[in-house]
Amino acid sequence: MISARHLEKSYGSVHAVRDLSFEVRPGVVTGFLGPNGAGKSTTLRLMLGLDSGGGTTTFGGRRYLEIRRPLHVVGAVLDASAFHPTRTARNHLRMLAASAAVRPERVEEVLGLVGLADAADRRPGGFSLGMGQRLALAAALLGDPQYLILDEPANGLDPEGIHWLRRMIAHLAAEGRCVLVSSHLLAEMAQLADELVVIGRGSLVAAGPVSDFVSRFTQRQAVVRSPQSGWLAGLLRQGGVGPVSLEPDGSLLVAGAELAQIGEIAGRHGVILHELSERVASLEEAFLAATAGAAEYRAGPGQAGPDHPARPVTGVAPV
Amino acid sequence: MSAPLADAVRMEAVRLRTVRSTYVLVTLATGLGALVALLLALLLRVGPMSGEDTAVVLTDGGDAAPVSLVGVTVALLGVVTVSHDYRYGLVRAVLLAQPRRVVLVAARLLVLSAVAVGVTTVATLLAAGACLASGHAPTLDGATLRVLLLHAGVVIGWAWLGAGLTWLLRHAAGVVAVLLACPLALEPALLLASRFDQAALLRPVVRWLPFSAARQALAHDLAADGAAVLPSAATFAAFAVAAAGLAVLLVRHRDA
Repeated sequence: MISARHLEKSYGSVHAVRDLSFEVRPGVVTGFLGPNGAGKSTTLRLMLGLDSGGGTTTFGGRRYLEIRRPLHVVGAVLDASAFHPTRTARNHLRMLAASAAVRPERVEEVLGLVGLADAADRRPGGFSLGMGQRLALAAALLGDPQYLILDEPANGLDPEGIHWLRRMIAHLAAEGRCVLVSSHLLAEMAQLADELVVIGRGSLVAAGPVSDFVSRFTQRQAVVRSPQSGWLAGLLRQGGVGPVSLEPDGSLLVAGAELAQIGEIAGRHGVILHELSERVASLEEAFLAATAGAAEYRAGPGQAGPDHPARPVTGVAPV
Repeated sequence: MSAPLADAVRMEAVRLRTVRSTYVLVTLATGLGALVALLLALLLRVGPMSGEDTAVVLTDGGDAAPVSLVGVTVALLGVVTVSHDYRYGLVRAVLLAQPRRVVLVAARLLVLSAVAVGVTTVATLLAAGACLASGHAPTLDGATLRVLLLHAGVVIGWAWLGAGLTWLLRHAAGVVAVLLACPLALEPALLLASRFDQAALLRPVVRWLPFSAARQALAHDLAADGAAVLPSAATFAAFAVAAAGLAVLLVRHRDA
């Protein structure tokens, strides 16, 4: 398990990270979300001892600095362009491998694993952003680590690359590893993550399973289609169910009601129903609701998000 | 050598071996050494060289030259090695591989020192070959051998200064400017000014100018005396160690 406790980081009077604690469990993919400037990358650097600050992070009970050969324990992707432009991909990995006595064949294995075997002797100065990401991922996997920290690993990847990355990360988690993935791509995260750690302005907003997060920050809505929608809307309002709104396509959106409750009212009055279903809110809607007010940078008037203020909520793995 | 240091030394060695600039600078250092030796030898009468001439020729001018060309080139290697970390964002990848920063700095300085000794040895051998090819047999007396050893030490000091100052300033061009301006302009100006009574207060200071001290450390007559060369050698070594030490203090706490 990765355990971050009371992480703190300030730049002068600005608190980039404040009293941030969370855990990352093995065998699941944990998404690390937050608006721009929320402190995600700073948090990851703090966890790995790259930045100085308060708090501690342990990987299986040991701090990063205490691990003799950390590449064998923790793999991290922080920057897709962290390589010398004229040192070949293979030599870049050999250099890092030398620091941890990683066997030379492993360099070839990870190059093949990330799909860079054919580019192993190319200078990465000519790499695309996606190829840089693959090289960074290869470096993270060199020591076959139990813990993985990936900062925006899908940046620059094409759709095929994103699909490959998703399968790779899911596979790594399925092997029992702890995987923490930071990403701005909410749709991608919705497919990838099992659990979430959401931060805003350097503080914890929520932590727990994705489904809990979505249901906590969005309101349940039912979609009802009926040839007698006007009548049904009135019946629902009389029954204290709602609020009910009529959509442009003629369907009704009923907030905060159980499907059974709506079905019973319709049945009791002989209203014909063509559809009665639950509208599942997206991770994006929940994220925007959870981090409203916590965004460091925001578009001007007319682009405002939901009204809910950010508030800390912890789910299955409260810290 | 401790196990983490051994790991870090291996990484630094691979790092130096796998980038083109290393080969360019090493070739430049050894080639320049041989070229300068050949040019100096051609100025001498054909026949065996005196010990003093040998020391001057085999050390790129010794105490007669304002800077050691081999030293400057190896210092550039130190500058390039450290500046690559910051220029290309390699610092994070390297620190993830070896998070003990003091160990990392020590390993890099050790590897640079080894390269400095190797480059100086090859440059000296090439210079000796150039002398022999031009009909001048070097004389390797005790004082000359001491100068050659001190030259290797001075080149190591240049490497440490290059790396140390780059860790401190994180600006390769600025460090190169300091490394060239100090021995070629600032120190000669201070030495000249100290000769005038109006600038007499400079006289105690100029004894401790590092690059002038490095030059004096290669003086054959001082080396012949043995102990006389120690203050100069120690002055330059102290500056190189101070630059590296300050770098360690800074790097330990700097955000990557």
